[in-house]
Amino acid sequence: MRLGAWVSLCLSALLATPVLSIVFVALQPSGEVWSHLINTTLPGYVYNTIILSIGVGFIAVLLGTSTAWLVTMCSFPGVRYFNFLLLLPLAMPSYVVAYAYTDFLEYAGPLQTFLRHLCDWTHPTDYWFPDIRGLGGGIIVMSFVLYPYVYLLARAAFLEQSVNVLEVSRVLGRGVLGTFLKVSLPSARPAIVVGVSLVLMETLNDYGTVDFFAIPTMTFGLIDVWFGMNNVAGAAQIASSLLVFVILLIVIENFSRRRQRFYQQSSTRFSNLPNYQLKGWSAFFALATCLFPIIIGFIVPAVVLSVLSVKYFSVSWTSEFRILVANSLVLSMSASLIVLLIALFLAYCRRIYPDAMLSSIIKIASMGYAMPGAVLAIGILLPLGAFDNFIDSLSREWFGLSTGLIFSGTFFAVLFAYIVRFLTIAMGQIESSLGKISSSMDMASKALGYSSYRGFWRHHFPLIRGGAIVALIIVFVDCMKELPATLILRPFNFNTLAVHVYHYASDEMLGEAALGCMFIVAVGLLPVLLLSWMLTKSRKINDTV
Amino acid sequence: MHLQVTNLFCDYGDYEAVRGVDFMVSRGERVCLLGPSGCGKTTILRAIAGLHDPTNGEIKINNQVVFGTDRFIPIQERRVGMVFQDHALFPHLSVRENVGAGLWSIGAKERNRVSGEYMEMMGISSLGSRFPHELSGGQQQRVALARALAPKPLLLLMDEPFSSLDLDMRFRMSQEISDLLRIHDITCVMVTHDQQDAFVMGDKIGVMANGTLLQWDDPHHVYHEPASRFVADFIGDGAFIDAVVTGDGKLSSGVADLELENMGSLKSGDNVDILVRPEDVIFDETSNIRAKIIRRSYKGAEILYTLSLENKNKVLASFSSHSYFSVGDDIGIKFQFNHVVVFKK
Repeated sequence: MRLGAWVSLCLSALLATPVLSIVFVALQPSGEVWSHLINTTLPGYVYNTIILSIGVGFIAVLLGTSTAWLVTMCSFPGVRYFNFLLLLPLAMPSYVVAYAYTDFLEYAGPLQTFLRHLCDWTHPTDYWFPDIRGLGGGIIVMSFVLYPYVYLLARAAFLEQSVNVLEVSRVLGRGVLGTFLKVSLPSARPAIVVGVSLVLMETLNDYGTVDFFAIPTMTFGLIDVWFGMNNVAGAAQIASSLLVFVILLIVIENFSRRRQRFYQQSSTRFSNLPNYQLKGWSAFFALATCLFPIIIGFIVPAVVLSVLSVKYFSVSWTSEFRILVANSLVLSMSASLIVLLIALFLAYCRRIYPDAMLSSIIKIASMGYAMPGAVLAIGILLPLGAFDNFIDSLSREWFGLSTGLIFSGTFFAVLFAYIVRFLTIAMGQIESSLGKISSSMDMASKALGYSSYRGFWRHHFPLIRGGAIVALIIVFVDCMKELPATLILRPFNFNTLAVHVYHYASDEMLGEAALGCMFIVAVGLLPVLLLSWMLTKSRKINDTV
Repeated sequence: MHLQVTNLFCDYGDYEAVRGVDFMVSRGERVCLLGPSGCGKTTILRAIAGLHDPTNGEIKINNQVVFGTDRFIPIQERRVGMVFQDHALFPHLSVRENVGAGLWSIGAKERNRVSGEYMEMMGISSLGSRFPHELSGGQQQRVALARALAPKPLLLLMDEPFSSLDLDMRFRMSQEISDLLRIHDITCVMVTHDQQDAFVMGDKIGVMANGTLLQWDDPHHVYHEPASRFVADFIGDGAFIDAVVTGDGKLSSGVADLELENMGSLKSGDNVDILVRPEDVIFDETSNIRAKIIRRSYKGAEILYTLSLENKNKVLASFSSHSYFSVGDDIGIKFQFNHVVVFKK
């Protein structure tokens, strides 16, 4: 085998260690820790996680599917803009939305103050007002932020449905609603399931929201057991039970993706989808359905945060804040560049060395995308700590010097977590771009005397540059937003913007946190704009066909 | 010998794609490997190029071993030019840059000159600044060929080069390229499943099936003296009629008696099939061999009839479209063979 193949094999094996070490922990006999957990907190964690997941998944499907169908099949005022506007909540990390609503809905917040003025109430006892901080609030906040995953996939599935099939259904006597329920929806189902599994992976990953709303989910419990009780073994056990959920989701996702391929046979006939002209009440209803998630998931939190940031600007905009911004930008940029380079390298190696071993190791390594950040952090800390101790003992034995911990608690650990967690996103982009290049191009390049390395930069890279830039931006923004893994792995006294926002919010200082939130959201808008630009571009191609 | 392939074996895991193939190509010769898909012809081409590692055998290009028991020269050092089915032009490079892509080791000025020369040779000088997506199929083909030839390869390899073109264009391009290769004395190995391409392009044709080379001959012999039943079936139209060897050099088919030049291993009493090509059947109303027309396909200059003989054998006959028969007509025919080809049953 050649050098490139060896390097790619070793690299992907290294990237697979966090996932494997959690599996390893899960398979260890744990004795007392486990029985203690089962008798005390774990059932509660599991219960909350399941209820949260069911609630978020249900609402996300409802919002994502209905809006996707409306914007692809119907025509009503503003439908062209909704294509893009419905993606906006994707820019909002759910913890940011949670902070915004808490401020908006609390006793001293604008809504209740307004209501009191309106109705002449003076005391909290005068009226009942729901508390957003709880399981129900968590479900609402997360589902209105995460539904775009379902929306995107369902939209693509509807777009690719053959108009002939839909027409056959109409000819056979089904109405618009009947066609939707019996034809469109079932054939889009695999895509919707993929969307939901992505939503649930994000739900499991979330720490900021559940911590702030005090919903003891498994992720919440994991970090609580770790930091609050300093119990690494317990945290590892929770991590390995979380893994069960994650693997379930991965299996469901992969299964549905496979079915999706059969259901969505690409056809050239999807350019002219039925265009139901909605008028009067039905148009109003469609408009409201599309507007509702945008208002809840983006506009209200954005307005609340803007008002707060302006109000607290002078206390927030400090030199410390600017350092945080710089920290976040530098860390995220370097992580996304490294991720991109590794993704380019591994994707190209997989293309030119079709080796079953390499493929399966890459598959294990790429399971990292589904791992909640907190679980991944444990998967990194355990082997890294062991490695550091090993080096420390070696050096003490040979040189009489203690090296201390070399890798744990350094940027290396944080970077490593980002790479494992976001590699799949980048790989997916790169591989789909590479897949569009015919293999005879590789041969042509070689026949003209180019080595694999030179040929890549000269002939492949220019063709996949678009995909590479998209990958870079998406990974960059995900690194900016990342909270749980950063919280656990960051070096002492090093903060990112996300961690800073989290700390202020934990101290109930939402005003001071707002500017940081705004910054994260502004950065988060980048990939949304990019995505909508790509969607309109593909739409145009469809229109001209 | 310019290219020598000896006892070549290739496999893909458990599947043996090429099983013991030998052939030689002289300098300036153009050969075609012809066969149905999956017969191993493309694998041989890839092995010659260095894109596939054979399991056994030897390949020499220009008297240098490029693949042997302890030798493997990578493709980028073999000096072969390649033309692909989908042309594989670099979509991000202009026509001029595409043609110059293999000339990266020389200076920009010289590169420009050489690519200009090859663009002129292929008649695409005016397209230099265009991009591949702005070209027609035939133009892309010319760019691909210019790009492959510009680095002056020892050997030109073409993998189904015409199959992405439409029928009319395909014939024109194959003729034109055949002439060009002849004029410039370029040694070329082409792979195709289309016999028309092979007849136009090949000085020699290698007919392949199931990973083995069945016949290596010039087009005339491959057509008129096929070495095996498979080759007879695969190349050209034709049909078989039943016959019996009645004596030394004598055959009887029940409808006609024929002479056989070379008995080979046949002996009296053997049952054989005689290969009948459409042009071997002549219309002759006075003949006592009668045939009934059961199908008619109009081909323009001629008409291809399917005839049923009195012994129930079916043959194909190609008559000029000046005469015109209907399905069901009963006509007289006679056989006129240049060379009688028989296969033992």
